[in-house]
Amino acid sequence: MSGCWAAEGNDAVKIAARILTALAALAAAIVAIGPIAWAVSTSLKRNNEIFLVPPSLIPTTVTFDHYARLFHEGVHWNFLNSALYTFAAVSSAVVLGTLAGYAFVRFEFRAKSAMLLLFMASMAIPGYALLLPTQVLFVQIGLFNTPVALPILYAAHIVPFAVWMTRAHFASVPIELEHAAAVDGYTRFEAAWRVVLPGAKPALIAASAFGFLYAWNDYITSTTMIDSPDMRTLPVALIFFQGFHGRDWGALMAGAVIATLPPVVLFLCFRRYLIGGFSEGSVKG
Amino acid sequence: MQTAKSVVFEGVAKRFGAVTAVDRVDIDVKPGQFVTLLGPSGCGKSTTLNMIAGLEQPSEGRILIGGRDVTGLPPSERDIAMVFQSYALYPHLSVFENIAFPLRARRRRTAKPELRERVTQVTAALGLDALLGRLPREISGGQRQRVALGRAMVRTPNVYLLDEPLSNLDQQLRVQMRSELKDIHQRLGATMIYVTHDQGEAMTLSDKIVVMSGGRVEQLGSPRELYDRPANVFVARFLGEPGMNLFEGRVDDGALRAAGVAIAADRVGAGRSGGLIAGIRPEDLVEAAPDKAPIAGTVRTIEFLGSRMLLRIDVGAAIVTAFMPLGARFAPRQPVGLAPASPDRVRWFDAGSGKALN
Amino acid sequence: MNVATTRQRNAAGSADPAAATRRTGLALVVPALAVVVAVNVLPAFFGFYSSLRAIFFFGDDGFVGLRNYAQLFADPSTWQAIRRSLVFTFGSLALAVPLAMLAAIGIRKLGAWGRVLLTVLLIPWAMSPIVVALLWKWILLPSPGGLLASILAVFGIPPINLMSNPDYAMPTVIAVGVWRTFAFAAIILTAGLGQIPADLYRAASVDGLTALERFRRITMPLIAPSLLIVLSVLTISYFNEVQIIIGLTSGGPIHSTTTLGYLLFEVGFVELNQGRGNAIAIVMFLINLLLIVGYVRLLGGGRK
Repeated sequence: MSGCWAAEGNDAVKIAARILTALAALAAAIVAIGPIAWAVSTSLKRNNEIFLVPPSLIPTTVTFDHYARLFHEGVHWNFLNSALYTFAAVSSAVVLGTLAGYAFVRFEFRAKSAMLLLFMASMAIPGYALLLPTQVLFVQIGLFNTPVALPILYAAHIVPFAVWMTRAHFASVPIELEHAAAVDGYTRFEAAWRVVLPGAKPALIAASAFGFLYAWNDYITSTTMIDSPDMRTLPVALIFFQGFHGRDWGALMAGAVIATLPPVVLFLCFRRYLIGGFSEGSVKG
Repeated sequence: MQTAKSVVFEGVAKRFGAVTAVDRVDIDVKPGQFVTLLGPSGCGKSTTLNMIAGLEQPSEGRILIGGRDVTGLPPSERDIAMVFQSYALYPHLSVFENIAFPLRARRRRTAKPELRERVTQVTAALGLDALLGRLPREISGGQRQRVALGRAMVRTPNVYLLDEPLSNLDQQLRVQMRSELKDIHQRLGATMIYVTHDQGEAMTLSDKIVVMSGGRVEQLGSPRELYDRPANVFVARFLGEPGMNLFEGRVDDGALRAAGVAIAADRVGAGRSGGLIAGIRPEDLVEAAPDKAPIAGTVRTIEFLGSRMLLRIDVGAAIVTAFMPLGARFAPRQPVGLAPASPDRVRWFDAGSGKALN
Repeated sequence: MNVATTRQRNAAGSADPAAATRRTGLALVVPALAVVVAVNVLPAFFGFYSSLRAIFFFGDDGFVGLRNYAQLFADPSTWQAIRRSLVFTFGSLALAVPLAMLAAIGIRKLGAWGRVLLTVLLIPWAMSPIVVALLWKWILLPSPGGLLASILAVFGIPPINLMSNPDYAMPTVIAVGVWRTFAFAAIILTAGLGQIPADLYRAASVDGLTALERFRRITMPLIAPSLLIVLSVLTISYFNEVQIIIGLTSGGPIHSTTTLGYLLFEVGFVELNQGRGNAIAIVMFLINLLLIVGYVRLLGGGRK
């Protein structure tokens, strides 16, 4: 009988703990996405409603005026700049990183471990501390304020990460797979292309997605390396817009939504690979 | 049709830095033979197989397949099929595509209808028809094994190389696949070279066994030859379940003598002054009266094996194994006498070199 | 004769593939290496060279030795910036790590819903820091329209201007930075918790340990390696955070959020005093290096 009571008491505690955990999770989720919802809401409200007290999350009348104003300012060109820089950086970095990652696993060559250490160390050193010397250097060699400046810098930041991710993957691919392909009549290159690379899809996606988030979301590199308005990225354009129209919160939030949509959609699509990539990386060390 | 080819090793050696993995090996595999490279891990058998495949280059000597010197050729140009211990199935390809993979290689590109026909022929023979669309991770270990076999069988290679293909299967499946392999070999009439550390597999499957140890060939011959007439103590101990009993001692008064042992050695022992080893298989020992038996000891353990029983007997400091009929009555710690079933069932070795004398 | 020639060819053949392998391996690594060296290593040396010269507005007035460093360290505002960097870094860690730990435990407890929660918590991490700053600037606006002010108004509390009050600015910047990044730490901690065998907890329950004891004696020691990774990654990332500060406070008010990173931005990129800016960059670079070496030591030590 007393055992019965104990079990019931235990159950009650368990249920209470569950409810508490669920409530805390809900609160955390609201804190995480509430501000973003608020930005979306602001961007869709008419100006007189934006400053209304008390505020409401759902706009009484939905308007796309703020977005239209941004397009009038040419925000789509900045969007395109961001997209091009990001694409160029991510694609070249992932290709270079994958080649190197494969070489680190399957080939022996001089100073291999030193090179690997260099990649890993440069992943830890954040680009920001080196941005000023880079700027002065780029001015001297004529890369400052050119369309290739940002792709190069972004790619250099993504490459070590791509090496890290792909190397970890390739190391987990048994050499027998390539041996089997060789016996089946394929050259080494064909074997790598047809047998090893398809399996590396998760690592390639994770490296690309991480690279995209980094390059697309950057502000500091872009604002220090690009001067001309027609080459500006979206985040920089947004801050300039803020400088001119500081109180136009509807348009600013519309800009924030435009800048946030691609990375968030990409993250939601590839979250499995990104989370998996970081989890594995940390567990494997 | 199958075109079975011969495989010849001429003084092949493989060194990794200072380590010699394979030490000047000569092997001659006849077309259509099933030859097993047998030995403990690290004996060089897998390296030997990899050199036939072209996955590793010999440091010395040459390898001929069908009379053609292939020593410098890459694997893709040797026209061999290989089944790996891990199966090495392509994880992103379906069962069908895995088996079709060799037929899609540039040098062997096959027209679609023929490719489909050949793959389905193989999958039908292996009972994989229902699994064609599955990925390797979606099928069982035994099925994966069949897919790996199918990938080798889909083309008509010069030689089949099999690297411990059964070692990842459970006991029951292993025995079943063993007989299926034998069946496939007989049906195809192909040359097959098989690597294993399991002497049971080697004995049941092979036309010829190459026993290797420390990178050297210890003995080469039919399972029967190897079992009955091991060339040295290594082969004697390695083959058989359990291996041959070895009694080491000195010849004195016409008999090999050691603690608890006095085995008549008239024919071999005459005039020998050095140490001698007598080898007797567990099934060649019979019970004898303890007081005047050539081998005297005490029973240590008794294992019931169904059709007979296996005794482990303390003789001096050594443990001797002997099969006994079920009728016999033994108890642990009981004194027991043993004798060779007949004098010609005793195999004699030189204690210094370990080489067989008769 | 025939045998001899093949032997020779083999000898050459076995040396050749090794050399070919070395060449191929190198050829595959060199392009990636070149990009990384050009962008991560070269500027470090060039920065050091520039820090020894008087450079204003991209104009080089020649070698000045360690004058930039002497002036930098003689300036009390430099030391204040270093102090604020430490406050920002360790303040952020103190907030982010416990939150991430709580989140990770909750995520594991919730099972399938936990994965949903992790995804939701990570959405801010996918955002641009500068956009995050802009977004929070709007929410924290102390005038009509500001969400926080409106919520406080419901309780009759007058609006607080968090970003123009020197006492509140730093905590605000820290909180916004942590809002964006703490879930990243939760990924690693969640994975770390997942590595702990459930049998250990069952065994501990049988042995009579309470929930708190289980956390202290099983979870903490076994999560330590993951925690160390989280600490190292976050320390370096917080120490170099500047975009949130640029976006929210521009180092103000009255320099109360001017960290070393922001000082570098102001001196090097806004005032264009590039000689001195490079001296700051080199100091930051060295502190980063020190942090990395320290954490590598710690991580490597934990391995052994």
